[in-house]
Amino acid sequence: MPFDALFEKYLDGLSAYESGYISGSIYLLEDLLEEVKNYYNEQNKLNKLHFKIVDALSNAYISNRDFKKAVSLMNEYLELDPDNLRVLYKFFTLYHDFDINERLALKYYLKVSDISKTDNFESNVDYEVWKLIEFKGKALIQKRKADLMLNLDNDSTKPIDKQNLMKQLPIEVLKKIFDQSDNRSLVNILRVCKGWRNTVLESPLLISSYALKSYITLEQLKSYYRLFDQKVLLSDIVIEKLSLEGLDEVKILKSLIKSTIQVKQLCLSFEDDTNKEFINLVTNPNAILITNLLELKISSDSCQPIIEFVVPLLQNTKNLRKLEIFILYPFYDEEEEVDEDEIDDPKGTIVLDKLEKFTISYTKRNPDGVNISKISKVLVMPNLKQILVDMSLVEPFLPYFKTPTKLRSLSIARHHINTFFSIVTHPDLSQKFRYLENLEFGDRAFNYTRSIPIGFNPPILPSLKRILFHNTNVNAMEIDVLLNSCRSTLEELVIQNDLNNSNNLYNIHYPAMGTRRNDRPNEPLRFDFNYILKSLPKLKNFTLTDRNIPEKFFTKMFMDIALLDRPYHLDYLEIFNQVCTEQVTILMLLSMRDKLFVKHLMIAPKISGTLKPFIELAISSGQIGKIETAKYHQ
Amino acid sequence: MSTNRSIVIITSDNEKFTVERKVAEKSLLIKNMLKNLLPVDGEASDSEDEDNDIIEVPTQNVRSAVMKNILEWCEHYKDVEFPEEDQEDDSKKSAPIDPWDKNFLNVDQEMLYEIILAANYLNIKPLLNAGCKIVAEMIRGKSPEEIRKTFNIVNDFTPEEEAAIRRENEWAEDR
Repeated sequence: MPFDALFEKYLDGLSAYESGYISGSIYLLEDLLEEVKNYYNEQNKLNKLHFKIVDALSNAYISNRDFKKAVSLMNEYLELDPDNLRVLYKFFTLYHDFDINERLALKYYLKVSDISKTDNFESNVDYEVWKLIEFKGKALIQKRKADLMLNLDNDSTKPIDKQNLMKQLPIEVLKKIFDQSDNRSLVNILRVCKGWRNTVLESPLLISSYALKSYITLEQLKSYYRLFDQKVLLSDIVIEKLSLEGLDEVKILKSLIKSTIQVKQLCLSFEDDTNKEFINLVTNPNAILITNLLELKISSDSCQPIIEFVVPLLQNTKNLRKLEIFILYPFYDEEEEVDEDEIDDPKGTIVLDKLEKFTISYTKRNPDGVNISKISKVLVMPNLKQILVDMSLVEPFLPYFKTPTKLRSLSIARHHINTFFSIVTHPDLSQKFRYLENLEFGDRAFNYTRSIPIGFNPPILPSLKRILFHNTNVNAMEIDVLLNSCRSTLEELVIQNDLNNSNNLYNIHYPAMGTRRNDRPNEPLRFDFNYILKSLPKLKNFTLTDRNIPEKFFTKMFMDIALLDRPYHLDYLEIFNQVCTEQVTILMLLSMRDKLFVKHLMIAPKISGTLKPFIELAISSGQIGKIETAKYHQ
Repeated sequence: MSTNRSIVIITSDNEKFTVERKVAEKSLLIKNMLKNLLPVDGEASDSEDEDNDIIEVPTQNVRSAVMKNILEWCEHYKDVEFPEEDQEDDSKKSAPIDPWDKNFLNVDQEMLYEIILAANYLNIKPLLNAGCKIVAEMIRGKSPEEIRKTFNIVNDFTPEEEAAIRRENEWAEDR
């Protein structure tokens, strides 16, 4: 095999490892190692790639906790290249950090330290590696001296109980378990036995699951350092989520930045009188805490701090994937409208080219568009995939769409459906929606008194697969017009409503959806499930959970289902109102017979009593795959 | 047709299991292996002889008792398509365990670990996630002493060490 092909394969193995697909990378690399060994045997010359493969493969073994294989692999390589500092360093970290054996770790430290005494060692290419070992090795010697004095050394090499999951499961799997656990459970895990405790304290990955509380004192933060600084460097730790709300505590922030702990998601809250020192800290380009952030959530009670503090802050967050801005007015302010001062235009632009999700929420009833638009002018987000807007003005967020984005998901709350149509038909913007897959409307966005102009044809959204209405009082005509933009692609339609808004969507005296007559443009229509099934060939999932559905509507709807022209198949179905009884559910099951086949049906009542035989019949006949009772309904 | 063809899975103790291709492909490891061996459906069909070949897949890390369980799971979910990992959001993460999975994983601890390890090795994410949730549930809400009982672990801390550890957890205590 030519060298280029070998190298290509090595890169495949490496990227499999980096994307967490460990067993795949082992499979690739083991195979490749054989080929490189042949290469060595033919040429009798050590190839650089050989070391790279050994390096990657032993990393993969170590993360699978397969230490035996890692050791034999590295020993085999050491026979060829006995003074390779990097392999010796690997041995050292293996015994220092993973398969804890301080004596063996020391052995490798001393070996490397001998090599370092050779002449001209300072010009060795791996001089830096030596410095790393020296740092950890010296600390190890110190620690062992102390341990010997306190006579605590007895248990460090004792094999751990066979029933010990911490020893049996790979770190990545433990990490998955940890992510499912709360902080209290995680703290208890540290107190079970030495084996569990060491496994956690030796792994930056596991430590990262331990969350710091929002209100923490400096003393508490110090005790956090004391705990986790025992076996790993604080700078190796990446905390999943950190909230800083008590921002008077500049000392805490200072201490966090100094500790070089990294954070994935940071939640900050700003106020008008936020401490200047605090601002200086977060806008310092050397603050790793800020520069490596992946997610940032900011809340404030007005626009002013957002522009003054957040804009400079964002200049340092080049890796940001998710940005959420909440401007939360205390509700009592709404009556005596507080006028915000107009803020000076912020200078320049900030390009957040890794940002994928942007959320902005502005709870004021009549928001001050001038200031909001200033934020939008500064931010450039070329690779945005998901936007969530929750505020009752439109114009200021339009500029976001002007960036060359492949938008996948859009959620808008408190907006009229016409607003959406005016965005998608805007000549500058319509192209941006070609990739839109998910569209959500939330919270009282609709008002049935207005109408969509006669003959209005929405543009086609060629990728749209899912539409959701949550607590809107959308009417049937609006749904129908919107569906015209995605009939051939829509796979999921969700209508949820838990507000009382006496919706006329279900008035059985109105004509059915899809029958809008041009001579009666304002005539209301009734929602029609059969029409939905017939006109959306790709529909797989349907949800209609609305507390306003009257009993009469159900009767009409189930009769319609029984009269369907042919059998239809869905993956998921959920239809009920607030007081959906067993009788209604039985009626639905009966009406679906031979007409509607569903893999997963969600119902409201508990599965018992009179309902049970009907469900058993539906499942045994293959009509329904499985039935569950919706949790949130109870 | 290549999609209906059977796959023979060989376990570490050399037992052979014959399963439908779509059952075996619940394992992304096997799916990727097969992708290299067999043509994808829709591509030009193979000759008759080739179709009669038996495809054997060795899985060195899984013994037959565990594989039997794994395949039962794959069979149950063979028609279900799971969303890709990176599309799952937080709500999915905290979703309760599917009752069927919960019942399926109601086995002794050693078997549970082996199923989790095998699901990790074979890259069956939904099964791995369910297994991890079960273990997390076994830990949740329990005191250190109760955890020791559940997992059959001996307390190897001295009273002094225990006291020191309790002080250490100050950062997580509510005031």
